[in-house]
Amino acid sequence: MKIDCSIDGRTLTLSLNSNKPLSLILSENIGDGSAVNHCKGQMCGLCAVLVDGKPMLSCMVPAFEIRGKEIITFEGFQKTRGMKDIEKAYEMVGAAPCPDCYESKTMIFESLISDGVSEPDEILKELSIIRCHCLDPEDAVKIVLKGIDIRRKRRVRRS
Amino acid sequence: MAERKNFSRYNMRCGILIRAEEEALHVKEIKKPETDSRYLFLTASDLPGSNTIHILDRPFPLMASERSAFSGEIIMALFAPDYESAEIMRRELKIETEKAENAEETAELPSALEYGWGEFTPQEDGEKKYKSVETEFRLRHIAEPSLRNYTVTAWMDNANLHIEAPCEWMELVRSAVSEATGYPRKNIHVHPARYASKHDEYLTAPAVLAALAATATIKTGLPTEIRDTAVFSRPGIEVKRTTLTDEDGKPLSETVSMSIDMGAYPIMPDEYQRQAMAGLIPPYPLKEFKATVSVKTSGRYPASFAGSLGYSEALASTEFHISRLAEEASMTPYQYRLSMEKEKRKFTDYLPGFELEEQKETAARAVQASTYERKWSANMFQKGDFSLLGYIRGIGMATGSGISGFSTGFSKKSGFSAVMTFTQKGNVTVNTSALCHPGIMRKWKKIISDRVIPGHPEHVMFLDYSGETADTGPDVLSRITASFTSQLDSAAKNLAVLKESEALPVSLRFDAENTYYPCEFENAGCGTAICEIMISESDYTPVVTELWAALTFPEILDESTLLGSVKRAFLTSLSENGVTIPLDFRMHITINATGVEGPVAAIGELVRALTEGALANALYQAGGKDAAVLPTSARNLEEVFGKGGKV
Repeated sequence: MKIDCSIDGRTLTLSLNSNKPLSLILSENIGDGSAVNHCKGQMCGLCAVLVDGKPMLSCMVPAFEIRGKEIITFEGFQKTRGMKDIEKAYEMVGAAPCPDCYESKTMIFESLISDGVSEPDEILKELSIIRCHCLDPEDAVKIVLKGIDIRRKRRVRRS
Repeated sequence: MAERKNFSRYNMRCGILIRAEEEALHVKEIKKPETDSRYLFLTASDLPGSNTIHILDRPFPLMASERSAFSGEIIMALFAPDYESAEIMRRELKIETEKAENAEETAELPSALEYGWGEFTPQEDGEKKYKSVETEFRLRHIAEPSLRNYTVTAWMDNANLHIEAPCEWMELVRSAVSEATGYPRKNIHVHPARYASKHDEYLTAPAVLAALAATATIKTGLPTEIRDTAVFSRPGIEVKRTTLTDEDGKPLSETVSMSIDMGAYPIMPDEYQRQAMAGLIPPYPLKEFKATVSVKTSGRYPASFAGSLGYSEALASTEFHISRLAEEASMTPYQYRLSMEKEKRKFTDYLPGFELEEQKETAARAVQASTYERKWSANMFQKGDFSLLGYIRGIGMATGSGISGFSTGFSKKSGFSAVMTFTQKGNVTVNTSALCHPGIMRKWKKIISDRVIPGHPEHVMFLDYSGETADTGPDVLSRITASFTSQLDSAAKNLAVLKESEALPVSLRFDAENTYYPCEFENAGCGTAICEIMISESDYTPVVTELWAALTFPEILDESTLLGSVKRAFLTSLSENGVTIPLDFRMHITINATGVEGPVAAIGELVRALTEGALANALYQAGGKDAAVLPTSARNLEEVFGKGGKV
């Protein structure tokens, strides 16, 4: 089937099986292999992308569900100002995700920061979709709060 | 060197691996479907070279030829134009197997390593009363796929064969490809891909995949890629220890036997025995000590380093035993240590006689922060009863010193080295196979330039991997970040002198390991960890509620990076040992620096030992000896506690 969607700002028309998971579409059809993992449904959590701004595990999103949606992967996100905010938050807190889950956790941090989620329980619940336990929960909350602060200041400066 | 080409996926072959579902399976027949030239099946007999590669002179088969030695052994590799076609073709493939009758001896094993000192004969005058304390420390064999997939790519460029793989030991990849394909080593070029190896899972597996991908490339003439998941495999360990103490609980003599199940094909068993022996020697004085470390094989997945090569596991067993001795002497483990350990450790063939003051200081810090003694005493009243609250608690402590890299005995044999050259143009070139960590390489450039060409780190160049690259050895046990960094520094110091006195270009070949010590290992850094666990009566899930740790290192280059690494190592170690980490889990870690120049500890090894020791002690306090088996699980604890909620 033909599916129209936007991936990292590029409008694409893809011809593929309707049930092919988004993680495989990204790694095989789009060539975005560096950022997404495909664990065949083992729930590793290392394939998070933003679908219309919401974090989702791309291995759980079948092709037919991305029709008309805007998808942002880590490959696209890392070139934005938003990424610089998160990198700065990592640096200021003195903690960052491990190389295994760096992309996935960064995408979830981005969605939490852009939604302004500051409730620790909510932050940790959102992060719990990733099985990698490399980040101290306290540091994870600090990163989000710091990220919100950095972004707010940047926007104030700009306006 | 040819850079990795941007292959079109339409012009390459994608490989999947078909593995044995059980150990000791005899492959009777493989019925391959009829395919066109776009597909390729590879079995052991299709390899142009040998089916066996060598890891430090020990044989390791690439694929099962007639029978599988372990569950998960590769039987066949299947290559297709894309992964979906390969998966579809796999369904058409029929492999007939039958259970082989007798398990086959897979590898030759070194004889048991023995070490000890002194002799103690109990007096039989009736006045002296002795107590015998026996413990058994068990770690189950783990073989779990890691979370992330990785790919190994092979392609040809005229007469050269290129491999791109995430690998902890590039020389092993090259030699494996050469052995499997018969291709000349000088024409094999390895391109390191970035990786994060928490459990040394990229040590041997990428070499095996590279050999298969290279064979497929040679046969098809097309670029080939294999996608797979690495397996984290830790050996099964059993430590039996008996200590004879006097009536005050003072240890007099001790006998230890450690048995290591390394799976089907042991990797570096001799070195494993040495590292384990270093961890088995207790910190308290003894009149007599006898230890035996033996290695055995089984039909399990071959154990890789798993972040440690026996030292952590052995040290954890020692810490577990000390807590049992303390209980027998009716003291808290912390008080027992203070009363039994002397100021200095005994000098042995494996560890020097270093001062224990720093180690005791870390213990004091952690004990104070956690109010360990109060909690320990309160928990002792539980007597294995869930009581009215419906949960049971346990708190455990472990303390010890770290080591890093390989033993002196191994280093002398291995000959891992690197070459540093000061060129006529005033540049410094480094010929090493340790090229996988761009962050560390930036630090190395600064260290070298500060010594040889101050202010010009851009003039320090690391040569790309080629046929002439010096083998610096595997990137395990923090060798590359710890030992090799100090070796580079000392080589740069020598080169700075040589460039003034010798004709240019001047080269210096140096060992990758730290200086050779009088003992097998040198202590580096120490620490204490205390962890508290809670087991609920409703589901028996072991939950770690809080962790306190105090660590001391000789020097700290970047405190926040170090703290991040330590936290990560604790979290990784806790989760691999089966405990659930709740959302409100808290870690309280303090790190001090002594400021003394010295070797840097393998953080992973030290943290792993402290976590395993503290966790086993906490589980023991909560549920007795049967509960203190790692990795723990709700199922195991349910069996231990039974339906009545009592131990």
